[in-house]
Amino acid sequence: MKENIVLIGVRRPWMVLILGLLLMAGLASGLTKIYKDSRADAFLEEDNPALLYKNKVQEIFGLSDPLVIAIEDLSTEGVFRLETLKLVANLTDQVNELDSVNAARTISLATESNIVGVPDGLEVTPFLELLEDGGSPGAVRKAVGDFPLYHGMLVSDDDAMTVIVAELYDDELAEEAYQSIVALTDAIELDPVVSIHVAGEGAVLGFLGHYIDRDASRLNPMAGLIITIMLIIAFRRLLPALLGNAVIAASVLMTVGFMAYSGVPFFVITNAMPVILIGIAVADTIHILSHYYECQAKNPDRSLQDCIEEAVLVMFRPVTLTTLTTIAGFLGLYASSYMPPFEYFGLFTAFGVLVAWLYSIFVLPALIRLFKPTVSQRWVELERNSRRDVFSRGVNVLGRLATRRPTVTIAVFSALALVGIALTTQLQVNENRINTFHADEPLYQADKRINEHLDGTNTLDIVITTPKVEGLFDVEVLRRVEALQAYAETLPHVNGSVSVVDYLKQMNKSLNEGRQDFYALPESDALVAQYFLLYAASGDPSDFEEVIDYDYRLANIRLHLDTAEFVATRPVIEALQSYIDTQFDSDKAGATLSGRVNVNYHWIKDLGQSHFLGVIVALVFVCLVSALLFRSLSAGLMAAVPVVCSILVVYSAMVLLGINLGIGTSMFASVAIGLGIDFSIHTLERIKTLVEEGVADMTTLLAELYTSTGRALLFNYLAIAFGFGVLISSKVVPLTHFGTVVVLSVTMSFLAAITLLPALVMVVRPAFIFGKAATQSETQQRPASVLGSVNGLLPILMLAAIGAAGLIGTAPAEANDQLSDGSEVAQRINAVDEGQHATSEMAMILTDSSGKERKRHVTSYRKYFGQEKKTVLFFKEPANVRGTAFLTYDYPDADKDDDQWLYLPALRKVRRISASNRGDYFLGTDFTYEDIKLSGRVDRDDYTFTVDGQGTLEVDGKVIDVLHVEAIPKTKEIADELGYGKTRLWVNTDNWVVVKNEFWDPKGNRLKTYRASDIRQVDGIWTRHQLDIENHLTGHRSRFLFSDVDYQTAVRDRLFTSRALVKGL
Amino acid sequence: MSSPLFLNRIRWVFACSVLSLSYPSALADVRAKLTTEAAYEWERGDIGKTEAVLDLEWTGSLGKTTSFTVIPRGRMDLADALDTDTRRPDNYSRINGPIEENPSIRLELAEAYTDHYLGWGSMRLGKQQVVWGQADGLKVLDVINPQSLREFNLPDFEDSRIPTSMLNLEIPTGVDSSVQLLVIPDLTFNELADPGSTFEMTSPELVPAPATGVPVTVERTRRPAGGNLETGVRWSAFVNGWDLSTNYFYYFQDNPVIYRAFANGQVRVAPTYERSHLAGITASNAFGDLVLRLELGGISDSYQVRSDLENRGIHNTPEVASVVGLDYHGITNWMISYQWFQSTLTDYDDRIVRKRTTLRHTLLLKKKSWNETLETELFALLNQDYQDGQVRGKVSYQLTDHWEIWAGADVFFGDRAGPFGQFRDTDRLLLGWETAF
Repeated sequence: MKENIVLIGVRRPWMVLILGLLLMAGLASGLTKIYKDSRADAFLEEDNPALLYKNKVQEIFGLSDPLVIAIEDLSTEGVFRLETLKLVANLTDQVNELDSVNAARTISLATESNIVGVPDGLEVTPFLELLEDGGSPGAVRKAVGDFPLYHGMLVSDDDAMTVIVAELYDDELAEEAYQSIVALTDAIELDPVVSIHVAGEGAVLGFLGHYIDRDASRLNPMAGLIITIMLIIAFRRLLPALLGNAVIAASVLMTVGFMAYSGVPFFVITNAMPVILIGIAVADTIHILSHYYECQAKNPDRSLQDCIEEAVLVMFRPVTLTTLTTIAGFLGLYASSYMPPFEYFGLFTAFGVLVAWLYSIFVLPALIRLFKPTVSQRWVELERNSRRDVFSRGVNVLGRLATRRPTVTIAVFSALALVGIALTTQLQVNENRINTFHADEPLYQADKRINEHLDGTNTLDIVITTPKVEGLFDVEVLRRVEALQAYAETLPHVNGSVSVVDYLKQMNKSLNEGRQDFYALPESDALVAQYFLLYAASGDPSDFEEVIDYDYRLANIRLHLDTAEFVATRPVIEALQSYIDTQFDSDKAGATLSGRVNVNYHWIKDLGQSHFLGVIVALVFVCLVSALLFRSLSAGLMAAVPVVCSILVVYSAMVLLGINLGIGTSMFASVAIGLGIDFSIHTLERIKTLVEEGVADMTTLLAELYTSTGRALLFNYLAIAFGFGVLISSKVVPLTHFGTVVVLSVTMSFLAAITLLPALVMVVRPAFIFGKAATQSETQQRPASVLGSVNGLLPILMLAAIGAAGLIGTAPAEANDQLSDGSEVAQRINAVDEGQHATSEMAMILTDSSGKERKRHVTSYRKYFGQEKKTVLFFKEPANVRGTAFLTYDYPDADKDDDQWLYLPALRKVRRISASNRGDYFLGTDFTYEDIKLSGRVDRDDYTFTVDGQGTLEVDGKVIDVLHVEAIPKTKEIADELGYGKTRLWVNTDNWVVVKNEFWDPKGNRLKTYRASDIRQVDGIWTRHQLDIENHLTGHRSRFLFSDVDYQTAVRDRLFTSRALVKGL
Repeated sequence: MSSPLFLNRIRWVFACSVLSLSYPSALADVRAKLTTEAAYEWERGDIGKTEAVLDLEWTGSLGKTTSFTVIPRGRMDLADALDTDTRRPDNYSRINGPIEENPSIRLELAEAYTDHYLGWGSMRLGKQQVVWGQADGLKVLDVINPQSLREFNLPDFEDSRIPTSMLNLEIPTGVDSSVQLLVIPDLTFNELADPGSTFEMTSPELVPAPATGVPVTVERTRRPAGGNLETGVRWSAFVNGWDLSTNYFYYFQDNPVIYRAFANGQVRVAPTYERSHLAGITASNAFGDLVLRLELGGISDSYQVRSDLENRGIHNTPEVASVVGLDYHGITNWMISYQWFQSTLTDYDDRIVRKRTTLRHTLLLKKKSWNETLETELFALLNQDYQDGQVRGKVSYQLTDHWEIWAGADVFFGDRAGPFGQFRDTDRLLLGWETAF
């Protein structure tokens, strides 16, 4: 059944292909709904307090992330030339005409006003009005020079630069606004000494979306092209490249479509996802196609269908395992992230990996079946001449070098790891949004230029709150604001600040004949109130709305910083917070940090912690998954060794190359772990299979490993390395860094997997690989199955639950004639009469290794309906299982799965359960579901039976003659499904009842011993009244005691229905 | 003296007395289960629940073809965070509801029914639970019994379903098929969490947001007139490996429809229980390691809350809901179950608060270890509409046949406007034990 499902793509290609196409079309149709979100705010949860507060502050003071247009004039007069001032005025007008720009909030020399004291109060005059009536630019220069507030903020101290600061109605309009402003500035004919720069967070926001699109439209085709070329080189055919691209298309399109349907936007970092999926998706294709072509090359006479079936069957397990570990890696990123873009990145890339698996396992074989690609003749010739191609030879040379002296290899990697640990401590968390852009970008250069001349394009807000309306008329509060502002300006990178205090000082100075010594706060609360009143009467009252609210209760101090580097802004934020905590703790005024720099601080400060948590979670995930897959903890740990080495080497490289742990690089580890573990798993899986196939000589084993798996791994590695390598050429700098570190990490994982791991295996000789050495002599005698590893597995049989056993219909003398025929013995075991129907009471006593007992009481019914056997069990005791009922229909057709239902009182409904989990333990006992179903019989379709002797055994105080029968599962799959590698039966030759049975697990470990006793006839039928089974691995034991066994009383048909399970007895 | 509470007490005492006097031998089969669970809500930093529930199960035979089951239940919660209202809940019919209730203690007759084998079929008569459908934790057809939402969807449905008195007739129509008929005179509805309690509903999909500044008058909930019944019929069969059923249920929706009207300067809210038809089908089958479960239901009248007050704030539309479930048993001792739930309003109006189509996903990972004494379970639900949902983890250990202990965590996430996100501040850690004897 399992094989039928795995091979469904080969056997029903059209159906699978059509289903695959429909599914792809369905999800890919979501692509039309995708939308971008390149905001920095997107990196925080919408309810993050820092973000909420920043938005609230923006709302109160009408602040937003502005676009900054800087006009630089390198003439001796600087910007105070008539032409340049006119340029400022014209450009301001043009910018204000744009629909997306909030003209009322634009700041420039053309919009700002001078404050002058006149006999009847204040005179507020726009600066550029000074040019009217024959005024000179010098007058403007003087007026601005008398207004300290504008120094550094509006005009640079050297007069070489002035800015127009434009705010937008809506961040959504940023891209449109940026493009329009760039178009405006490009259209202006400038003097050679004048240049215009456009920057600011608004510009970053506006340009980033376009920048990402441009980058993605270049990277994705490039990755696809590189992968295509690589596939052509690997297989010397065009068709495999096209097939690989089909899987890639499914993975990428369906994932992005699914994202869109889920309402998840395309973030900055999502740009990396398609490229990553291209690399991962093609890896599965490479493994399946490699095996398919290798099969053709080695066996030119085999049909193509045979080869694709073999390729799918053989590669199903490793490809599935690596898919699971890769998914585990990405889910590790998802689980450990606190920023939504990272969470979605982890989650949806994991989904994409799953899609790649689905299409590689099912749709790719369907395509191969339909298109029938054939192997290149060169490959056939190489195989015929037992030669290897250059790739195999290369991997072989590397492998031989590493395994010649395994301890040296281990020592080299240990040294690398130690260096890695030492350097990791120097790794620095840092991020600067402007660094997203390549250094060649005009925006990057504009930002740099503006920050050199002016106070800075990066803003940090401090919101002052007072408890009552007009609380800011209080001079004491204002003095504290002034002190805070002064303190802030002493901090590094804080080059200027603006607050209501600056305006008040300017008014005070203006009202005192412009005397510089009056550039100070007014002396009394009343004076402050009057100044505001005077200004309202003379100027536009809305001039202050950026620094104070309508009720004079809240004020904003805006600090300008010349950098947004996290390492530079962090001390500023922390120093300010500390100052606020000590100086603004009174009832009169409070202060809270806000603004872009503060929000950035909040999302970056936990980046390092989140990264290392992600590494640990991903490592634990992949370790667990690997351990589960190999069913060995040491295997899980061993598989993780190359990955850990690679991560430490990457950390070292980052420190040495000066790459910081930022947005792009922080997610490398989870990704690298998920990908890197694949190499380990493929290597370990292959070594294990080779050992199981009886390849005992290490030289032969390694040669075989490097020739087949090594070559496939090399192409797997190259696919991933090239896929991620494309990112290195990205213009989005975080992606460049991300691509670099992932390529480095995957390279190390690959190298460690093919060098360090085999060396470790040679030195450590782990039990999960060599544990079956003891059974090698047996396994070598058997031919390998199509899956290559049926060996080591020995069969078994079972025993039972409900209680009937049988009388033999044949005489012992006849039996002796058949002593040597295991199949005949099995037939006789199954011929034991168990009655047409039976009822019994059963007590189960379950005892764990510490001697703790649990008891259950069950009433069981069994009845034959023709050849179909139905059994139902009703649990009566104890209370925690009371009401549970189990129904099974056992069909005579071996190809037809049984039907099973379980009624759990806690759900109040009957649950259909899969009957294919035959090897699962039945409701906590040491019997499997299959044991319970067979009820003392054996399954001749599952096992090969061999009589290997006879002897005696004491049962119920009597010595009886027994036959020894060895039962071995016919295939490895059957062994795995049943959980038994071999069983050995003791069969009573008097009545053909199995009185003892030893079980070994598929790895050859002694698993369980079963004994039947108290065997006596009931209604003429031999019945076992006591069954004991002990699990040697866990120490757990189960005893079944049967009573009231009744083969006579009719059993009602209605008991064997799901409604009877609900009703109970 | 003719209050429902009083009637309940009389009925309970009478039933117990008659049974015990008539069939003293039946008294021998009495079992008890005591479940204690404490919840710590870490967001609030407070204990959200310290509850002890005692179930007594009394079963016996009344002749060869009749048996009975009576389950009285007592519950005590010292945290008082889940119950705040001292009044008797108004969702119960006169023949249902607690015998005694205050915020700390509730006594009730959880179930009481008789089973009769009639030869041509069987009949269960009395207060009972009936479950339709194939979905786990998602309701499409599982609406025969109302539910207590005191702890939202966190308790097992078996514990939160409110048993109702009914006639439940099951008639075999073949070896593998049967027809079930239900007649339910007991019109009891969902018990909502008390106002101000931990799990009070606030999601605008379920509870219309009050208009600011406008006085609101909430009328008494209008119950169906006396003489109304709920009736249902189900045909189920096992055909070619498929478990199939078709279902029809003529019923009252378990949540009142919140009608709102603006008059005389105020909004009048008139909660009313409304009728609807439900038709559905279910199917399940096993394919190797996979079990496929399907459930589809169509509701004739779903009464959706509108964002305005037109049509008294309600838009009535048919609804089609379905669940596709996949259970994977391919890994020893593991059960991995995924469910995809969708519900679509077929006559949608833009002013309906909920979206036209609702999508939910659930994932259940369950692992049994140590001969089924240790069970680890992780359940995740994602509600795509609001990107909200819940994640629940639980580890339980069977100490002995009679003692079980467990620890767990319930976490809600997502948009506060969502049905799950509304409880994002109620994340909690659980510790509990159960003993049965």
